[in-house]
Amino acid sequence: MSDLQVSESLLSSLATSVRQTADAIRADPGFGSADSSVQSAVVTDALSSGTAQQSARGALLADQLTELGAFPADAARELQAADARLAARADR
Amino acid sequence: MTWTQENPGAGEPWGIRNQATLRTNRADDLRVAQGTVAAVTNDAGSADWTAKSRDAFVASLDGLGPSLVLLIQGLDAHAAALQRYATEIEQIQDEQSVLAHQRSDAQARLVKHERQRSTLLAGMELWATEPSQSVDSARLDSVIDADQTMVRGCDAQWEDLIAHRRSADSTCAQQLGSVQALGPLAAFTATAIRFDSSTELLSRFATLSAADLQVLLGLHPDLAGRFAANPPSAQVVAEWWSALGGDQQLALAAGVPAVVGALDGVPWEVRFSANRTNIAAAQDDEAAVIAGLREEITTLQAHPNRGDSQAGMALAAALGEAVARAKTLREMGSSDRQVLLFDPTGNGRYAEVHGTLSAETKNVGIVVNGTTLAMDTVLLYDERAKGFYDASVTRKEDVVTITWMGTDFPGWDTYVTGDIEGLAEDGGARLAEFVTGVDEVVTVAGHEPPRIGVFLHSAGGLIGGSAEKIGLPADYVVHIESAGAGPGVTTVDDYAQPDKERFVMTAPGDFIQLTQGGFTSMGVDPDRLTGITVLDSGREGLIDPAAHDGVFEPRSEAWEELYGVLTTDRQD
Repeated sequence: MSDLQVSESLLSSLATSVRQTADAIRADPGFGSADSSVQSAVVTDALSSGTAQQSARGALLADQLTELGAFPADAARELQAADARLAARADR
Repeated sequence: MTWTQENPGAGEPWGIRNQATLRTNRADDLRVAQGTVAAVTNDAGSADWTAKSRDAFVASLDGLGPSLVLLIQGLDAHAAALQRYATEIEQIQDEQSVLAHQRSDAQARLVKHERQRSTLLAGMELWATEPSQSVDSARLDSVIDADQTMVRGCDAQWEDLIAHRRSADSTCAQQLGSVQALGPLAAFTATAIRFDSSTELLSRFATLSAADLQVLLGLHPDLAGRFAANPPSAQVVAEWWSALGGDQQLALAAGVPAVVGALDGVPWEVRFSANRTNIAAAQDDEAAVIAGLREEITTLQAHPNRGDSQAGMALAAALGEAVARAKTLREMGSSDRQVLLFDPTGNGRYAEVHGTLSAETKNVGIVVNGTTLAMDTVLLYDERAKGFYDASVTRKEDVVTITWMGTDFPGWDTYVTGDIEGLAEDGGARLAEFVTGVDEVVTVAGHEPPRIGVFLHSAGGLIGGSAEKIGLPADYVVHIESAGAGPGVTTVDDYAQPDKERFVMTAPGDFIQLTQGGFTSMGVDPDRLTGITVLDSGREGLIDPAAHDGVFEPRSEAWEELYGVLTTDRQD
């Protein structure tokens, strides 16, 4: 059996960092529309389609990170719960 | 707003540079995020957390790294493309400004010199020509020539400026949509999605990760419909799928379940899994519809006059339908169902498999039902295929049965106002492709392939008959209380394989006989097809409308006759 060691504070800190990263990625970069500056239909189309792809990719990544960010916190909670259950059983 | 030939330098370089800077800043923010993720990975690897869950967490975090890199590279590439474009626009604007002045000056000089020459010529006519005046006139002609050359030169340079702008636009658009900017998704341009064949799109799919596939489908939700409307052939799909790596197959099943779940030629287990995802998504959609309708009803009821009663009734009816659909979807999503095809749009598409395909499978029976088959009724009709399979389990026979609803089936109104022939032919092509797909996956190397039969009930006969015209790779076909041998079919020679083994069952009292052979759109009475084996329905009444569906009554004489055909051993 492998060593099992857990620090609840480490797991919480990891969860917070990942969550904050997800929030940073999800934040609106404020690109807005470039139509009036570009004044070219072909460039505007390519820019908006490329930006839409990047934005969709960013949103997906942020969602994946949010889900992953919950993982260390869940792991800490599960371990604590298991610990408490075993302790209660020993008390009986 | 776009530039014109009169103003090829239109645009605001500072605004374009601002867009570039916004992307550079965003990329910098993401680089910080990248650093945080690296730090988290490092911290997670410390001695304070040693567990399998830690390894899983770190692996998942590592797995997201490439997506973040791709995002940063894309933003950098867009920023660089916009910077270059701004510089080009600036150059065009500078040249345009100089050129506009040069042309304006040349034009003004030309007008002035032409005026001078007119005055001179008028004087020469009035006062008799003097030698000095002739010299002046010749000099002016040459100056005017030079002015005209200058104007023409400016115009030519203006054309060059227009060409420069077109080239700058094209280069910038190319860079914005390049692999550097968008990763493998760059291959999915709007043009490619619109014009490439579904086979070409499939090969492009193989280059994408699950995340990219999700992004692609999110941006082009109509892509799955492209495949449903114009599917690639089952052989092409089977070859394509087997050439993919395991990771790619997983990515596709997870990323585009709506496409994978409907592709004939993909292994069944993969399709079952993809369709479970598709059904779950449809359940969510239906739940949202129900919630919306309930909210509308509540709003209507809260109105002092209790709203419009007609509107209320319409909403209640819509709610009833939505609740019934949700129940159907819940049943379809049940974990013991093996759904081979699922698309809830329109009349719906559905196919369900009963039994497990293995090297020992001896018989595969595909049941194609008839009029009124649709998403809300298909589970009821599925009892027929399931009934045959359940009996085979009890009788210890290796049978797999399938209910197929891979096309629009006629409603009663189709016979009055619709295009029954068109419906049958469209369905026939889809059925032929589906059976080809079944044929592809049931063949296990080194084992005798199972015998494939297609059981066509009622209007299903028209669809099956159409499929036979193209070529249906089944070992035999059974017409059961069939509406006809297929649009335009007069003899077995109208079928691609005239000698295929065929069976027919028509109860003497079934009113379907009124349509059999009476309409070109439905073809000849199947009982009259040369070489067809007539099965006994065991029903004798001359007026027996219940016979039409009654032949599927489990354990009845007709049902046993059909079951006998289904479980006959391969003779070759």
